[in-house]
Amino acid sequence: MENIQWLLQGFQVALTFENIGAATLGAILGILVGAMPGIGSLAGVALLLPLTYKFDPTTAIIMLGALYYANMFGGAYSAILINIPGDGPAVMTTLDGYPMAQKGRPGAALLVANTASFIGGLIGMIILTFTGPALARLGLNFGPVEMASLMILAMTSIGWLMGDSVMKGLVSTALGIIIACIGMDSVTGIPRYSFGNIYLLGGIPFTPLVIGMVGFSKVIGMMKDRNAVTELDMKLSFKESLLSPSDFGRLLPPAIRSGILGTFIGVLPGAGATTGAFAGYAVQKKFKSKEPLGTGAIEGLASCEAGNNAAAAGAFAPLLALGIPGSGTGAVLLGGLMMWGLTPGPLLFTEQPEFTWGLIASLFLANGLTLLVAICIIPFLVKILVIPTRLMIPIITTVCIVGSYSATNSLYGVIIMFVAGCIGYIMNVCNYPSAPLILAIVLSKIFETNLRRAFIISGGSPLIFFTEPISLFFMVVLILLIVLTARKKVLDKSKI
Amino acid sequence: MKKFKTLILLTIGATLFVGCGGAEEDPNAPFLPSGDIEWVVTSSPGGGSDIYTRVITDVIKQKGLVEETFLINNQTDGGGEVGRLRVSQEKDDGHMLLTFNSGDLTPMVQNTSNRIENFKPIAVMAVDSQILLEGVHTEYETFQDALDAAANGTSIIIGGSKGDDIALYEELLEVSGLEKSQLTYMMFDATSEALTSLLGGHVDYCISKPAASMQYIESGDAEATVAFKTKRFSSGSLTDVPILSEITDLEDIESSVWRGIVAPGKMPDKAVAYWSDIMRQVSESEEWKTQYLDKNVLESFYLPADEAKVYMTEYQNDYLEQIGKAE
Amino acid sequence: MKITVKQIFPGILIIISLFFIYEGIVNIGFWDGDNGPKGGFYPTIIAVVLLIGSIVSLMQSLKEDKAEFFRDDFKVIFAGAAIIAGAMLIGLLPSIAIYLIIWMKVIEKMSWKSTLIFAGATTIIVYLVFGVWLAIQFPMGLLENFL
Repeated sequence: MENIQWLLQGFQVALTFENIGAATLGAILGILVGAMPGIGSLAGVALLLPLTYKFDPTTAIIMLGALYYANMFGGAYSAILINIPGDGPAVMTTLDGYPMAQKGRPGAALLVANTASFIGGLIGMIILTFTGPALARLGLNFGPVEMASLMILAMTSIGWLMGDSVMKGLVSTALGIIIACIGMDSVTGIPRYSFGNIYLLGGIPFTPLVIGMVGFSKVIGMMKDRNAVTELDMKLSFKESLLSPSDFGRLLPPAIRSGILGTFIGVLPGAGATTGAFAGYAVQKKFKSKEPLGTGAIEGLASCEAGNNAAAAGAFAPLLALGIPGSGTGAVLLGGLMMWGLTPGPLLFTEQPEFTWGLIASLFLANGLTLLVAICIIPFLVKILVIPTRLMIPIITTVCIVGSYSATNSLYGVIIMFVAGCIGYIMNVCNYPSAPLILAIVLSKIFETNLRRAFIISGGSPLIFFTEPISLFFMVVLILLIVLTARKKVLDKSKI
Repeated sequence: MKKFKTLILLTIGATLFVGCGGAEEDPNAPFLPSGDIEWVVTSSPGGGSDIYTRVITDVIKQKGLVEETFLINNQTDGGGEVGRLRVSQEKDDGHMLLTFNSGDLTPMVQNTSNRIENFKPIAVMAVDSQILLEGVHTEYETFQDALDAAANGTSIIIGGSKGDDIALYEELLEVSGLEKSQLTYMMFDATSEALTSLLGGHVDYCISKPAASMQYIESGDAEATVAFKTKRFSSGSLTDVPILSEITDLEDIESSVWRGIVAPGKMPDKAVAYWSDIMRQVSESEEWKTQYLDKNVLESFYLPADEAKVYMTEYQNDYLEQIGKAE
Repeated sequence: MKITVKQIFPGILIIISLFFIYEGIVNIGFWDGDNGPKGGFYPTIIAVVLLIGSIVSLMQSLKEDKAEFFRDDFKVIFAGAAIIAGAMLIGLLPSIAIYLIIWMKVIEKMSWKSTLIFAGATTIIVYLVFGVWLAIQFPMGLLENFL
């Protein structure tokens, strides 16, 4: 119970007029910057970090927490409204968020996303409060062997997202993995498939690729609808943005499930928010949803948004308790916290309890405030959809170009965005799904690195995946899943 | 009228960022920066090189050495090679700098044809050391035991980061006479990842720099086994850490990790002299000592432009010879 | 039977996967007795999967309807390429401004007044948000050399 006392004390420090003002400002700016494609949460935190220098340490840290959360919230906006995911986790958001907005409920979609984010983040913070350092220690048990077997489990799950044709889904996944292999071999540091090109050496930059593959390809396809009457029968009023009790009832169970799952994924080394969002969504596939996933289902949208934010909260456990940033965003945040005298590491919870719990309290505060800010600005943001398609085409083209430039600070990013857009367009025309490709890139990098490190540990023997207990567990789950899926297929066929 | 206003606004929008041309200059006047200075860092915000750069610019600001603004540009494409190539080719008038460490030089000359000769070195600022860490899960009593076990067929795994840490590992192989399959290196993207693996017991040992490891040593999660130096640390909390020859029958190996600054190859000599002098003032300041060196257990090692050039070139040529790429 | 993009796309993928298999086995290395997989191991296996998938997709595509392209779609692709080329010459923001003017005037046939307001406002917003507020340095193309 000592934890709770510390936390309450933290709240006392955090709840002043000035602190709340700074957090609100951070939340507004964070949502806006996070909503810009190509900026996303990583660059958003980095870019807004200097704003906090003007305040005293406590206020600055609270504002930083708000920025962090608000960036995560904002990432969903462009995904839902214009189908351009600003960063990795938002790819999952487009699957149900964009269809839901197209069905005439953009405001509700944004609110579902942000409410789920709030719940996911809240669950993550609660788990962090009660388990803290112990949770971080648990994550340490996940070495290369365990991560590799977890990832192979995740990668076979991409199959559930593959759309109508399994073969086309498989081609898309494999193409994604091949793209992820270009660049530096992460285990030996030797270039491969880079054609001696200095730009390809560091791999294909992810954000421009996503902007192009999902966003720019859509703009190309938009020309068709250009002259269609776009006056959708949408009442974009404040009322539309509210959630009915039944909406909320559909949102809550997946959000709680993903919240818990996402927190644990966030604790694992290097797994990150994208994996959290993906795992939440994949698990939701196994549960009942009122509408099929992928057609604008509230359940689907809630599951991935909650998973993503819970993973971001879970990542705080190793960050604070061990000084290990689980993601790029975590690394930037760590840099910001260190400027205010925080020395992250195993001693933090015992040596600097006021600081640590003040930070956790401010994260709670930031999470809630960001939701409030989001509720206030959503009714204004959905007005973007009233802009006619003929104006949207040049606007989104501009956004794609500027966003991909900002993500890499070079024209190389714009070129990648453009090429990925053309490939994505061809894939759309030929009915190849692009989501598996993007997910495969994220998961494949973690998988290959850990797989090969596992083989280094075992001296080349694959048996190690069955002798380590955690890994054995995943392998059993994997085999069960394959058997069950195959059995279902056979049964379905025999019925016909 | 409205149209005209828009036109003006548009023109402003399109030309503002292009900026104005430089003023007429007296050829004999000493160099002074006349606009923003772009400082390229080829690793991510928050990392070691980034902090090093930001502390330097902070010290410059605190002491009021340079009026103009520093814009730090983290260009990480192509493992940093894209940014390094860009700086080396830039047509520059004294407003661009690049953070350049030994850990940047080694992958650059190994993986690309870019060489230090394409840059103008400004200064070397500090040297860092490397130590070997063991975790609570490490099975071996002493490092000598681990080496013996490796020689007898048990694979010992050492974790570490890119660049400098690999170079040190290669040296360790050389002095111990062990094969790569006996003493295996597991490369991580960043030191923090390698340390995570050590804490989880997935690698046996880990090569690291003192700054990154201090907190784990203090908490008892890790222990410094060896200091890769020819003499023990003379001050700070690591004075008790033995050197290699004290605890094994191997000869000492010493890491040479330096942190420096370079500029585009086309930077005028006057500007090089100016920046080299600014860096001298930084390295002599109390702020630099307390905010950077002492905090991160680095040793001050300032070399002005001409000496830095000799130093970096020699380092490059030694390395090229070592990897069999000498020209 | 006419060959369309539905056959060309998997066809290109087949070539790419063959290249990855060749590179992976011959140049990068597949398996090392002591340490297990080398750099080419994983890409090669996946490239084999891609190869099989592409061949099957190619055969399936013969039964599918012809892919439908909309001629206007290429205008967007062309515009994207033009902006990149323009950015190398005159810088990113000017080429975006010029693109907006040409697009609104020629493709959308808007009046000069609305075109200039739209293009001007968009460019200025982009400049203020990204260039000033977020301090992103946009490339100036060849112009940089004259300033």
